[in-house]
Amino acid sequence: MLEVQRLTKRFGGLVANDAIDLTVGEREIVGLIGPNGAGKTTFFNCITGQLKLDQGRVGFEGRDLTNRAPEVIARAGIARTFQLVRVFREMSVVDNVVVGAFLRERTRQGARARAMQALKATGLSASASTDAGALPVALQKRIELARAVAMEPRLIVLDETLSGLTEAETREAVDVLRGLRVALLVVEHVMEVIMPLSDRVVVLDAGKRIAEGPPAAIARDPRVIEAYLGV
Amino acid sequence: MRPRTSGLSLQAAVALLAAAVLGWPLIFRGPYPQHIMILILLNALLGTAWNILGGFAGQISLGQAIFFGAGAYTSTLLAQHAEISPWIGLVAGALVAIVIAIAIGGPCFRLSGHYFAIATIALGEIAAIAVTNWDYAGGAVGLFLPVEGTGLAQMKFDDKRGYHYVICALLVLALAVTVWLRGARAGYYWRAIREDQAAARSAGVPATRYKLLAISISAALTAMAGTFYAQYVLFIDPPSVLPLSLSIQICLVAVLGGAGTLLGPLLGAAVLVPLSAATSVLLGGSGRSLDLVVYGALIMVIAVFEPSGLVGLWRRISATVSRN
Repeated sequence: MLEVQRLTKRFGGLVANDAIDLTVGEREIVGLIGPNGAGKTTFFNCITGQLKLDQGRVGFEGRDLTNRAPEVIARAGIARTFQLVRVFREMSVVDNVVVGAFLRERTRQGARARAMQALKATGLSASASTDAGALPVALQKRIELARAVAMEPRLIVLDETLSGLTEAETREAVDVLRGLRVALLVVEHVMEVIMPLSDRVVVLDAGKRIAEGPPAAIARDPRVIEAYLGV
Repeated sequence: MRPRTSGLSLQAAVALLAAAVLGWPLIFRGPYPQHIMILILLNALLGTAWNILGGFAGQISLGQAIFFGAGAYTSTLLAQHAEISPWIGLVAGALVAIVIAIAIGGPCFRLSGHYFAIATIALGEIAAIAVTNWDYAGGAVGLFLPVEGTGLAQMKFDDKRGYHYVICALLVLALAVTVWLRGARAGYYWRAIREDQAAARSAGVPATRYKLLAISISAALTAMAGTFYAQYVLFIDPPSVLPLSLSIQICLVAVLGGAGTLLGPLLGAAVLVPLSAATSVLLGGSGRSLDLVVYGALIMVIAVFEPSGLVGLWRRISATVSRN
């Protein structure tokens, strides 16, 4: 469904992403891990249109989305969350999600109904009319997720949405994600979070793809252990 | 959640206020109070138009005089050279303003935050200089409006009552447009763009298109105010319809009243216009601009103590009152 071919991104002399290939299949959950500075967020921003790639191709369901505008990519069916949470702080929780819902609805009533469904799916119904900025970060991350869900995407890319959550919050969030029944591309640098969730894991280090495989195999891969532990 | 006054009392207050505004020229027969009320309504219209772009979409414009001037000049030139009715001129001026707005927005919306505001100041100054040197449009001398009789069809009246009701109608139009768009997709998208444009785009908001929509509507309504002003004063020149001070005043009306709220610009105009009139009556004429100093100081006091504007102050007071 998502096909990234030889994606390359340079910042001046630094090659942040070096010819990275990655695919995500229908309803597949793919984890993207790597130590800090491996180029995970850059890779993400290239896929979702925040950054222009230097070389390579981003295809999605047969369409070429290489270097298209973020709103075009959103309409094509890819929703995202941000590493540093970005909710519309002075809008209510439900209005945050309504913005996403308007992607698929024309009327306010339709968008509100869709937003309320997304809030229910993410366990936020009780906070619907609170100002988003007044909520703790864990819930703000969930608003981002609800906003993404309301866009009725085929793929959601999650940029460290789970990091910084407590263990209980993480378990809850993982349950929510499993319940969405869409493809997920999940970036984390904490392996413990991503391993039980993913069908397949891709490992980045210093801008290069160094390993790919099922979570259990990745956890034993000496190259991955070396990248993380530096031994 | 924001504290809410009960729906009924708010509706009653708005109805009372509307009745007072409509009855104003019937109660106050003197030209001066009638003139002040027309100025309040004109500024409320300009503030409401600014608010769509600056308050909801978060794009601070300090060049609204360009659109005001576009409306005033388009309708006046059409009347002078082709004897076209000011009502058609009103629509034509709005269309010209939309074209200018899109020409400005296209490149300037690539700029964000303060840089957009600075660009609009520069463009406003360029427009004033250009018109000053444009002989066909009267240049620095300005234009007198041809008066071919009075009445609603000419949008010119023998006394101020006619002007009062025309500006009332234009203000109602602006408020209706605001209410309609605020609850529609555009309103949600504008607020999302104001809060975080990158996040909005990733949620599928075509930010540039919706900012162009905001500046176009804002420009059209501002141009209508410009056409009205020309019929009211019957003389226009660059210092009266294209000055930077007008652009700043429009922004002040909305910000002081409460940007991003429906009633903010009305409240701002209702306070600022009498304030400016009172300070100039009481303190003006000394030749030392003391009135402007006091006027500026009062604006600073409000801005420092209530950044969310008079609407914010009102909400705080009404919350305190209802608690006791």
